[in-house]
Amino acid sequence: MPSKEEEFAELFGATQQRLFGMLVSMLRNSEDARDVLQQTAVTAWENYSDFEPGTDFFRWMAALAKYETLTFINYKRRSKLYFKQEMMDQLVDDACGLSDESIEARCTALRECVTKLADTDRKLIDCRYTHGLGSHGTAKLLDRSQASVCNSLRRIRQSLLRCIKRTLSEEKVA
Amino acid sequence: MSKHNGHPHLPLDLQKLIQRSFDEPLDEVEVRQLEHAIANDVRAREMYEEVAHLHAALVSQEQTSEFCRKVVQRELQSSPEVAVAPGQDEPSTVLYWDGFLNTARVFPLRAAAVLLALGVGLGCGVGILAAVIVHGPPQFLSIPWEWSVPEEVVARIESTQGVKWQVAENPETPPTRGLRVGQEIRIEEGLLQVTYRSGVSVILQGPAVYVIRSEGGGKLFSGRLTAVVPSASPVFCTETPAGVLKTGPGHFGVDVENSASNRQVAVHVFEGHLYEMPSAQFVRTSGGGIKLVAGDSIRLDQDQSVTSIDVPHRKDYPIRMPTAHRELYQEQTIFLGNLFDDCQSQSLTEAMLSDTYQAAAETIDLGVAAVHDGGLDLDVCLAEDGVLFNFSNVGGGGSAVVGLPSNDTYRSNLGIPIRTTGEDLPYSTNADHSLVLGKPSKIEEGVGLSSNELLTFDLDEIRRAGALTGRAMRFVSDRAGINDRELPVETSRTKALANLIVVVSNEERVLSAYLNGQPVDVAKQAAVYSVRVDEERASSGLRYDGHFVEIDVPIPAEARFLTLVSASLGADVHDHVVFSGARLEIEPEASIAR
Repeated sequence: MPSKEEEFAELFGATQQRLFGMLVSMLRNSEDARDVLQQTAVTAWENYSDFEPGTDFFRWMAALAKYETLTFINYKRRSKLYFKQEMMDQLVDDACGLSDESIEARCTALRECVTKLADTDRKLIDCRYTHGLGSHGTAKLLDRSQASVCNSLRRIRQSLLRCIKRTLSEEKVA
Repeated sequence: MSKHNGHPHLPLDLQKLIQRSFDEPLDEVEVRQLEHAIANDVRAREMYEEVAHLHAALVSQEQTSEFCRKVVQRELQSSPEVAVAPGQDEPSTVLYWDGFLNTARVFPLRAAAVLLALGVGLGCGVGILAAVIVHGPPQFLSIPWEWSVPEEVVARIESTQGVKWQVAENPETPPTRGLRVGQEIRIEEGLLQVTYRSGVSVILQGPAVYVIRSEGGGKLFSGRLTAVVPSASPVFCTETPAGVLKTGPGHFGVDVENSASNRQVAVHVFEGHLYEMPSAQFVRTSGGGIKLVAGDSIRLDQDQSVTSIDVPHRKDYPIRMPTAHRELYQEQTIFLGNLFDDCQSQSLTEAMLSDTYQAAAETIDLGVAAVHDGGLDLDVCLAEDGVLFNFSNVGGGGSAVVGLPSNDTYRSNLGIPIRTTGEDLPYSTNADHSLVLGKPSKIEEGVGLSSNELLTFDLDEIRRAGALTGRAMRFVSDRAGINDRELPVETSRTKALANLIVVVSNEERVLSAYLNGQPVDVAKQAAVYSVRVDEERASSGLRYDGHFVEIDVPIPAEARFLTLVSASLGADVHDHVVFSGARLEIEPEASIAR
């Protein structure tokens, strides 16, 4: 029989990507989202005895994550630069409507799509995400203007989104 | 790959904004623009969420695998525990606490690495979990702030239980529940919980005197407090006459005896969550720090000598306040004055059962958001998180009358009962012809205010106490005006004059306003509201002539605040305003749908 820690680890592991995506949508910043995810994990573990087995673990986690997000925003004291609570609620609801399987399938498709990118584009993605540089840092590193980097990132992300959709629909047909 | 735009139905500017929102900070206008778009256009929200999840996936798969590998490699080459200097590159998913004395960040990497190594195979999210399990779950959660108030408000009165202020005959309520640096709290008895923006909770036990000193601490001059410092909070400082207690995350107790004959401070560390480090440090006024860990309890005597003492029982230093009692309020009427002897944790049903004559309206009472005695010649906040209003054009004056708005009487410290039906206040005369008032007691139900007083009710708090969320109501007063004479003094008859203003508002705007029972327009200039009336109407006011007005104000479900104001119109005597029968009538639920 799995220990409580193992049980929690399994549930958390299955939902954490969806949760992270939801937090990115709420905070529009992956570092902030990561911090909140970390605190949410702590809170969830502390209160794990309150979770009713068999009920929706993601929904339970999402409620905690929203609570932690609001705390984080207030702590940062930049609340005007974040969405209002009604919008947060909407984003939480939408994330609850997704499935971990669909998120996982998209992640798998993304890995494949990234390999199809042109070298220069992959390099840009590498700077932005692997090295965690912002658009400003990426522009500096690549000796390009920030606007140009933002445009390129937008274009690449659009390509990746189309590629993911195509890959998933092909899998469905197959 | 195709160059076709994936979201052709959306304006290109919006698409760019959505994409850019994940690459660089937006300004406030852009945030609101984005929010409006994704709130009102499902397709825009779909695109926004699609990009957010793509962004998250790119961060996760590219960064975490790399990060996990680096952390595990570093751990395998390092000693069992490694201190990482601030600023050094370190994994962000390993839990650390960087507050205490700004010392090094410490985390037990070896144990974490085992789980991290396991986590690599599981998608690395377990790395976060690793930190949780390695360190054990912190027990102290941050209390969310969720309150849009000015920056200078560093703390607030979160809840109370049986509180009495120290000066009984003249209640010393803060004007709102927001607390600023320098603000004093003096309680004679009961429990009062202060929470800071950082999520730190301080529970004072009366008698106690506590002063807010900064956003990260306060000074306990006398009495007892419990401090609960959450995991992510910076160092919290509790000053005492003997020195300063600096605490990391945990549960702490402080007692200060500060009398002429004895000056003693005791500090207790019930629990602390600083791994491998002291949980707290007490810095004496005479110099020298004392490091404390969980289970330590010390006493500092007048000569600053330190004695280790037994740890007291935790229950004497409560971590949280008694849980609020909530039940559906079954009645249709809420008498507002009846709330003045109740605390926020009580249900509306309980609140209506207790009706203490002469109870003062204080911001620790159920549903009372703001109380101002005087100062109505300035822009005044209807509530800490409410809008600004200026009452000077309808007679709001600066002078204060000692005594707060109160239940069934017009001044909390005199106890002259509300009378609007012509009944004289019983009195007799002494041999020297001085007047002796009859025993004051309740004659009518209602709320009384003296000159230039403002009283705001938090309707949402009242609704919550009665499980009435989203319910529309009406504010009704059967007879509002100048109270019947307290003594047969001629000046009462000739000079008493006041305007009664009722304002319904929420955090962002005024929804309606009434002057002496009649609806009036409001004007807004530079974020400050005022009543828009002509000079004649603004200055006519109500007089002591037996004439009262009936007030019936609709309160929609979105209304958060109800404000009652008495403006003196320059008169300086006997303008005792009463709202006889002041109550909320709960609208039937069907009217919400309509």
